[in-house]
Amino acid sequence: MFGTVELQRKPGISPTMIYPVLDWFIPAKVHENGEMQQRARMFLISHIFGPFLGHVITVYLYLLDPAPDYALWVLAGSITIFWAFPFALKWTGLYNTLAVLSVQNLIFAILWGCYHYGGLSSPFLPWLLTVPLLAFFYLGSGGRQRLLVLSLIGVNFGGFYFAYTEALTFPVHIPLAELSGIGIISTLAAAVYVSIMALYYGNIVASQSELEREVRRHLATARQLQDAKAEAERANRAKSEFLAKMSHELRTPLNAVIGYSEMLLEEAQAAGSDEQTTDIKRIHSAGKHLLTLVSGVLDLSKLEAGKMEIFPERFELRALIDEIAAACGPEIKSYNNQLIIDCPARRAGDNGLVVETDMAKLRQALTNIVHNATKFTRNGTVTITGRVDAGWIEVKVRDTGMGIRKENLANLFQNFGESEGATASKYGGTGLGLALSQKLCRLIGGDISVESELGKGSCFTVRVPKTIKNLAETLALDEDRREGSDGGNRILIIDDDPQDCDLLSRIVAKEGYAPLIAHNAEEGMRKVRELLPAVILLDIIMPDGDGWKLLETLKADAELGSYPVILVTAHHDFAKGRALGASAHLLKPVDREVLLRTIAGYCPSPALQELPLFQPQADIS
Amino acid sequence: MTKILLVEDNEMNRDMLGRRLQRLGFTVCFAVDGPAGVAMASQETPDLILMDVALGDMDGWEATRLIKANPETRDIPIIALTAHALASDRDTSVKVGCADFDTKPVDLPRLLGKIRGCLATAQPMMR
Repeated sequence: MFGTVELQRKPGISPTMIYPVLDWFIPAKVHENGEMQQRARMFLISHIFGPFLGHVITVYLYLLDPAPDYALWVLAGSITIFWAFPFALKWTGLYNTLAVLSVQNLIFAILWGCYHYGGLSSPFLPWLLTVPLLAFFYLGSGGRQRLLVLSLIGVNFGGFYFAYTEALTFPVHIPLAELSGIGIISTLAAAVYVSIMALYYGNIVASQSELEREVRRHLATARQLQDAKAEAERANRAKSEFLAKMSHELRTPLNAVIGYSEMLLEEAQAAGSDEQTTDIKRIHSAGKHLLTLVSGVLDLSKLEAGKMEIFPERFELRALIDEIAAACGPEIKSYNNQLIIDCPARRAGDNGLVVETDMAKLRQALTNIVHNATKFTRNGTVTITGRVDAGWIEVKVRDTGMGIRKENLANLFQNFGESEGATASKYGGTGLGLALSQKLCRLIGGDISVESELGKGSCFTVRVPKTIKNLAETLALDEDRREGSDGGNRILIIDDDPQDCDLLSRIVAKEGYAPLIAHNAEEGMRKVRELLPAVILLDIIMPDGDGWKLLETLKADAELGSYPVILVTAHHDFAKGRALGASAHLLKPVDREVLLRTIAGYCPSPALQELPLFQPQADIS
Repeated sequence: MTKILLVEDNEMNRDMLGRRLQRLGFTVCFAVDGPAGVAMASQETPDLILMDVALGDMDGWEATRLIKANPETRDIPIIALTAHALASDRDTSVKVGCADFDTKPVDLPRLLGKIRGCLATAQPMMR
């Protein structure tokens, strides 16, 4: 054992170096089976080197009798045939058959040699020891193989005995006395042969245990990584909760600072004290700035902790824009800017652009953007354009301000990513506004984009769906209607966490699928039967019924077994998912793109189907 | 002299808003919770009530309902003050009978506009 480990360390001696040569002979089919591959390598080694040792004997016999008869030629032929086996393996790939034939040939060669050269006192007898050794190396040690090898030996001995009883004596080609020299050589050759095979085998055992150690090390590392990941997630949650709590605690005293400074300001102004007015104004504006920052951090941490809820409301878009314009009005005026609003308003008989989304979130996002546009523009114009078409609200805020450098556009929406450090100090700002605005828009199913030219101005475009409902609730109510209209685009989400349900359904709904929700395994099973979804998204960790069990039941069902099930879970047991028949396994928190790509593999995205290019063939059924 | 009842449980907010209103010439009386607000409304018969919605046990909506249920205090206009500018808050404030609705922290000029508006429409009815 120690010896083989030593061998491995020295380059040039490692038996594994011969693998490329051996593997050239091994057909792909055998390669795939790891265990059979090892046996095939052993088979090849003995077939490449064995005949050399065997022929030591035939050469010696030839030297003893330079005019040999048929007995030697048959023996030499039988030994030489071994060299053909590797090629036969490469061309036919019939490993097991060839192994049995090889064992048979070996037994024949040995018994033939014994019969013709010395009978029961033959110097070739020690070679019989190699037979079971090699046979089990080649064929493995299963019950069937053992029986096969033993019966092969038995049958051959039977033949040997039969040949002997025919004549009751052994033929004498060379007198036994002359064979005594070959006895040592034959025994030596057999010993070398067995040693080579034993060394090779020992090496395999050593490398396998090395491999096992390696696997154990990797498993331990994987566990550590999982623990570290869980720990990091816990820490991140703790951070968000801490920030949320702190922000709340900070707001109360801040409101007092702002409120009392406002009172002092009024008093100072009434008393006509200019110097105090300036100072108090500074306290007041610093307080307001700090409040914006704290509120921003609170909102961001809420968004990141997934605690921001959506409150859909019906409202008129123009009214919202007017409200924002009014709030930003004093600031716009103070920088000598002009505000232009271009959005259809409510008139008699016309309700204007009525939309249904989370007004507070949209207002916050738009206010931030208008505020930004104002802040970076002097003596210019800020234009707010509002439109609603094809299910989307689109609000553009265009300014004639300083613009943004191309290289700064990329990280414009990052937390604290205000375009330049110097800009922030000159114009003030927290660097949170845009990041927050984008996250808010994404929360209600939309996004923000920006175009800008340095020195000419910027244009921010907010696009959010015209209608957003509290999806988890409304979807449950609207199932029947949906079933009729949306054909095969239904996606059933089985998850006990309402927030995850909401997130998943929003992602798939945006892509045009019809999400359905089930909050536990039982409800999930029922809905699969009733609603026949195109794809099932399944969580594994649910309180009142294991997701695994549901998956197993589904896959065992003759009718429902073919439904693609995508696991969306924090559970890591990929092998189990595969074994139970899950089509894919995604880890929470799930990446939007990956999720949609995976779903599209089983049910093409309806958003794409709307384009004529991707129009599917008419469904004949 | 116009009398305003301020129902607010936060001491600092009560002090700030109260003093600023007093400075503007209003007579201000205070209540620190819902039940006190209801009691003060019938005792003092103010011209207008500013009602914080997020009070302790009895919230501002409930207090408003009680004030509106009492024939003596029914006609006093109430302005609800909430921390969030949600339309649902606005709907609730209309439903329970508030005359108007504003958000906290208070923007005094804006609130003043609302107070004047309420008083202008309410006074002919009261007198």
